[in-house]
Amino acid sequence: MEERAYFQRLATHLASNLFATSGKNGLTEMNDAAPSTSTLASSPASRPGPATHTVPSGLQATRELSRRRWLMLGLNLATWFAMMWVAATILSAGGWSVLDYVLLACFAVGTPWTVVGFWNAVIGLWLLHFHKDPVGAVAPFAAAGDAATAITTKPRSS
Amino acid sequence: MTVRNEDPERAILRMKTIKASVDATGEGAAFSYFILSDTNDAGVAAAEERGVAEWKANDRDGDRITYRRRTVNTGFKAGNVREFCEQWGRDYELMLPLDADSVMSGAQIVKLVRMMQAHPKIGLIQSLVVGMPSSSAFARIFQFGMRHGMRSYTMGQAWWVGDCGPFWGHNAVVRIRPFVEECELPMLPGKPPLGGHVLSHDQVEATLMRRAGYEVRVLPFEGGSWEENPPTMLDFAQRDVRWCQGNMQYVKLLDIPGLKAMSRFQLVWAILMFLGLPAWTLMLATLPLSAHETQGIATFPKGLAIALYIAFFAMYLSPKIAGLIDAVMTKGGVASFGGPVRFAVSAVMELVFSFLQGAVSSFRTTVFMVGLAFGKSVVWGGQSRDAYGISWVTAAQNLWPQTLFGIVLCSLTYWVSPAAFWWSLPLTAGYLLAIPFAVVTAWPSLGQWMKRMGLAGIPEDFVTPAEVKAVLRTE
Repeated sequence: MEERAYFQRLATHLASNLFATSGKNGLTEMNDAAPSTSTLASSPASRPGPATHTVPSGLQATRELSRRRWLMLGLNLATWFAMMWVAATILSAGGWSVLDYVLLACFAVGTPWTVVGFWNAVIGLWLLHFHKDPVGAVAPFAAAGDAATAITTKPRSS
Repeated sequence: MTVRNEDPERAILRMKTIKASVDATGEGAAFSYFILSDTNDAGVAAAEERGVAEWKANDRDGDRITYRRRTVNTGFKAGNVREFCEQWGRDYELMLPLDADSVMSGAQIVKLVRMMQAHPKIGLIQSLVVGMPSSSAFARIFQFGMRHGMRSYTMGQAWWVGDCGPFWGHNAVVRIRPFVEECELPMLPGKPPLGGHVLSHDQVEATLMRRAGYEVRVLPFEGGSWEENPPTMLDFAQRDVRWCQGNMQYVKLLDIPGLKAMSRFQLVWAILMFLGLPAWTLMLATLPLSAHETQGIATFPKGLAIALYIAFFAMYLSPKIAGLIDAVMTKGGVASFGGPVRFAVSAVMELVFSFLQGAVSSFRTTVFMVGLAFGKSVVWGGQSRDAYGISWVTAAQNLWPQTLFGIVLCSLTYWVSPAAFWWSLPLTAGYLLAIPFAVVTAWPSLGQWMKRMGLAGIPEDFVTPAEVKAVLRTE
C-alpha cells in the first residue's frame, strides 16, 4: 500500500515535472513525505540554480530537448492509446468479463516498451539516413574527440 | 578493471592490450592502470598477484600499474569502484571502469577523454559497447541481432534522452570528483532481495551525476568498445534474473529528492522493462481461457484481433527491421556482415532465435519476479555450465518448468481452438523447445561451424581490429 501511495505521488510529480527545464521543482515535498532514502536526502538535493537556457555543457538548448521529449511523449501516448483502444474493442466483444479486464491490464503494462522501441527505431533510422547532421543532433560533444588536442588531464601525482 | 574470481590471465591480457593500444596513440603517459580485485578464491588471487607482478616487471611503465585486492567485497562491484575512488580518486580527473571481459581501443579511449576535457560539465560518456567475435552459437546469434538492431534504437533514444543518458557500468569515462561527492549509493531499507546494497548501481549513479549538474551522455556509434555476451541460454537467463533483481530495487529509489524528471523516468523505465514480462506470461497463460471465451461470441472481431497481433509484432521487431534497413542503406553495411547471402540467412536465423530465447528468459524472469513479490530470490537448477556446452541433464534440470508450462499451455489451447494454437505458436514454441534450444545453441561444434561459415557474424568477425585479435589469440 505504501508503494501504491508512493506511485501516485510520483505520477503527479512526473506529470508536473517531466519536462521542466530548470532545477526548480516541487520534489522537496516528496522528500519530506517519503524520506526512505535518508542518505540521499542529505545530499545537495534541490539546488534551485538560475534558470538556464541550455544544458550544463552549453551544447544544446533546453527548449530543443524539451521539444524532442514532448514529441516523443506525444507519439508514444498516441500509439499506446490507439493500441489500447483496439485491444479494448476486441476484448469488449460479448461483454466484459474478469478475464477481459486482466488481459487489458496486462496489455497496458506489456506494450510501452514495444511502443517506445518502435519510435526509437523510427527516429534513429531517420537520423542515420535522412538527417543532415545526425552526430550534431544526437552527440554534439563528439566533435571534440577528433580535435588533435593533447590530453592535459594527467595524473596529478607521479 | 574490476575482477572477481575471473580467469586472471584473460583479464590481464585485456589490460595489457588496452595499454598497448593507448600507448600507440602517443598519449600513453596520461594513463594509469588499476586492477581492482574482489576475488575471494585463494588460488585465483595468487594467480592475479603473479600475473600483475610479471606485467609490472616487463612493462617500462610498471609504476603506473597497480593491483589491489579487497578481502571483504562490501557493496559488491560498486563498492569496489568506490573504494578505488576513495583511495586514488584525488590523483585523477577521469576514470574508465572496465569489466573483466571488456576491451577498448586506445584511439577510442583518447577520443572519449578529449570529449570530457573539452566539456567539463559532462560527467560521464558511455560508449556503445558491442560484442566480440565468439565461437558460441548462442552468443553469435544474440549479438548479431543486437549489433544491427541497437544502432537505430540507441540513436533514436539518445536524441531525446540527451543530457540524462544511460550508464552501463563499464566502458564509459567518468569524472571522478562529482562521482565521489555526489553519486554515493544509499543502502536500501529492508532485507534482501530488494533491500540492502544497490545491485544495478550504474543507472542510479547516472541519475545522481545528472542531479549534481553534470551531463550523462551516450556516444551512440559503435567503435573501439567491446564486451562478451553470455555463451549459453542458461548464462543468459542468469544474467537476466540478476538484472531484474537490480532493476526492481529501483522501486525504492524513485523518490530520491532533486532528480531530473528525465532521470526519474529512466528508473521507472528500467522497472517497467521487467514488469512487462509477467504481464506477457500471464496473457499467454490465460490463452486457453480467452480462446474458450472468444468461441462463444458470434460477433468476435477476428479481423481486428489479427490486425492488432500483426501490428504488435511489427512494432516489437521494429528495432531489428530498422537495423536491417540501416545495413542495406549504409554503404558497405551488408558487406561488413559478410555479404548479402550470409546476412539474409543470419537475419532469419536470428529472428527465430529471438522468439525462442525470449520465451525461455521471460518465463524464467516471471517466476523470479513472483518470488521477489514474496521476498524470495528464486533460484533452481544445478550448475549452469558443463565443461563443453550444456548436457541434456543440465538443461532439463534448469528448464523443466518452461517445458511443462509449454506442454500444458499448448495442449489446452489446441484442445479449445487449434487456430489459437497455431497463431500463438511463435510465442509458445520457446517453452516447448526450451531444453533442446539450450542444448543445441551451446554445442561447441555448431558454434565452430557457424564461425567457419561466417554465419551470424558481426563486422569484427570479418575485419578484426588489432585489439580484438590480441585478446582472442589464446582462445
